[in-house]
Amino acid sequence: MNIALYTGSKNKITGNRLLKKINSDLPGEKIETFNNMDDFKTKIYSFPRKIDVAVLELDDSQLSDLIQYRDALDDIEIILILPDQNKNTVSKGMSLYPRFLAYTDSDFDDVSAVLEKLSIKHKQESNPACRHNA
Amino acid sequence: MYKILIIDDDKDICSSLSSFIRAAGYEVSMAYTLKESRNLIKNNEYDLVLLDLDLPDGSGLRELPNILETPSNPEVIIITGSDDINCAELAFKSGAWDYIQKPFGIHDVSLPIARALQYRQEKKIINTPLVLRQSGIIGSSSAINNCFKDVAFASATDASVLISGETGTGKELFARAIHHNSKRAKGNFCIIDCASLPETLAESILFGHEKGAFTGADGRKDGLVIQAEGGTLFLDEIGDLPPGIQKAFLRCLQEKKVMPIGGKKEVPVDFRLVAATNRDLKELVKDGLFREDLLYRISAITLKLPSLRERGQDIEEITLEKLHQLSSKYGIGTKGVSQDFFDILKLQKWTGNVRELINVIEYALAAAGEDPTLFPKHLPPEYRTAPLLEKSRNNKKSNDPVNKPLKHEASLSTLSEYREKTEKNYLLELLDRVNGDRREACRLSGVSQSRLYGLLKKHHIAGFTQSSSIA
Repeated sequence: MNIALYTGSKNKITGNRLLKKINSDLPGEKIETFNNMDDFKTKIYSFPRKIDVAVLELDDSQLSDLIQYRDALDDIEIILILPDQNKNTVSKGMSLYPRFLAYTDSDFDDVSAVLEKLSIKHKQESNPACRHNA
Repeated sequence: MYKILIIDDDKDICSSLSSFIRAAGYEVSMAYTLKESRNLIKNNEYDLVLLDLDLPDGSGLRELPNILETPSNPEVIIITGSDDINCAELAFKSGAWDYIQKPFGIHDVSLPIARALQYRQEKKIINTPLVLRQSGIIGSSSAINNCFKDVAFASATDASVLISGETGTGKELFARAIHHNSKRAKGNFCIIDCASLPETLAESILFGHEKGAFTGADGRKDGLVIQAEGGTLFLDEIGDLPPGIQKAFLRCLQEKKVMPIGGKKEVPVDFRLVAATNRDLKELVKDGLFREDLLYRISAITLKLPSLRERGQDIEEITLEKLHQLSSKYGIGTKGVSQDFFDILKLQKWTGNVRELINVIEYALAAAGEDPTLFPKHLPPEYRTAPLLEKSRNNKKSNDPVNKPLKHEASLSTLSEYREKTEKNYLLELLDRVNGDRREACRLSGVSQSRLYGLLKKHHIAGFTQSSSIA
């Protein structure tokens, strides 16, 4: 499973904590990290690109920005990490159709548990019929 | 004015029904045979058909699907002397609105007719919104158009919807289409992927929790049923919803309230449920893995999506549209597609359906590089062998003792020899079709894995490899 991790908050501690958690709970998974929105957009628009799951830690303005590029994320399973449970923020986040929603004050046990399940699902679906990613 | 057609060979019944229907202010036609009815249906658009099952030139039940597929898609009330319950069930499964047994009085048909026409009136108010065409769902086949009609119908109500279909048929796209065309479109569309829901966290994710409710609950968190307030809650792969959660979720659906973990007060909820599955939920109910009462609650409206095999005529359209989308998205020059390319696509089994097709298109686009046109050489190698496999299959069928009439054999084999040969040929054909997929082999054959291995061993056939071979 190919994971793209975007950590965009100014507070680098959260991003580092998230990366450490994912690396420790899912050793062996391919993780490509981004902390610059332009680099991330370049990636999602590159062809061929290999992203199965995107873990996006976004603040409110980054979320508003990324929503404009929602179509490019349509075939990627998204785990979204928001700064708070503000209704407007959550509502914006839902428009990215995330598989899972977490918040920056989480210990990210839930995020890695969901990633583990997604990894199993991808392995099961990875039969010759469905494996042809460019 | 509503137009009603009576198809019955009993002229007295036709006469008394038509008098009643005219008196009610509707236009009525009569046909005494299926042949007459087909001519009338061809030249008129009926809102309602009263159909006898026993007609001199055929079975009304067999004709029912043809009537329903006519452009006006009339409601059909079956009228018959048969008291066969199976017949009634088949009629309903085929789409009949109601079923009335002869002999009957006018009062036995007046209410069903009124209700059928009321339903028709309500259906007319629902127009298929243009936005359905912009939902990302591609196709013009009758199979997919029927699904669009179902989406339009579902969008106009608040009833729960269960979408079923094989993996990769677009269940989430249809769920989104229902949401975005409903009165809840401004609300959130919240997804729960039950297959990726860790069982230990499922309750908290769905219903939320209060601070300190459990270890790690450092703050209060709203569950998805609350975040879907005023919107739609989409439960994907609902067959994987942990059994322990099903009861609580059912209660939430029934009472429209939820108690977050560690909470002291129930919170009202207001969401519309759309669920999806690629599993047979009735089988899961039989196996005790899914609650029957929950199944009834989630399937007020059911929508079955066709596999890509069942809408093969959409393959070209999907391919061209996806190529166009990918070209725009990634800034790649538009490519042409050779007819050979399409021909090979149409020979595939597409067990992964549209998702598999899209993956193959992406592969081909990358493989093509600067080539302006897609040819078979740009396809993944195992897809290119489809024409050869098809030819080999056809050759096998012509030599197949199952298909070859026994009377053409020079000498008649013993029954036991015949059974052995047939069994072996079946196994070879099965392995060929499933392309090494053990689970698919068990599913198609209806045989357990251990039994299948036993049979393969008996006939000295190598097991689940890409190409079956005789050891």
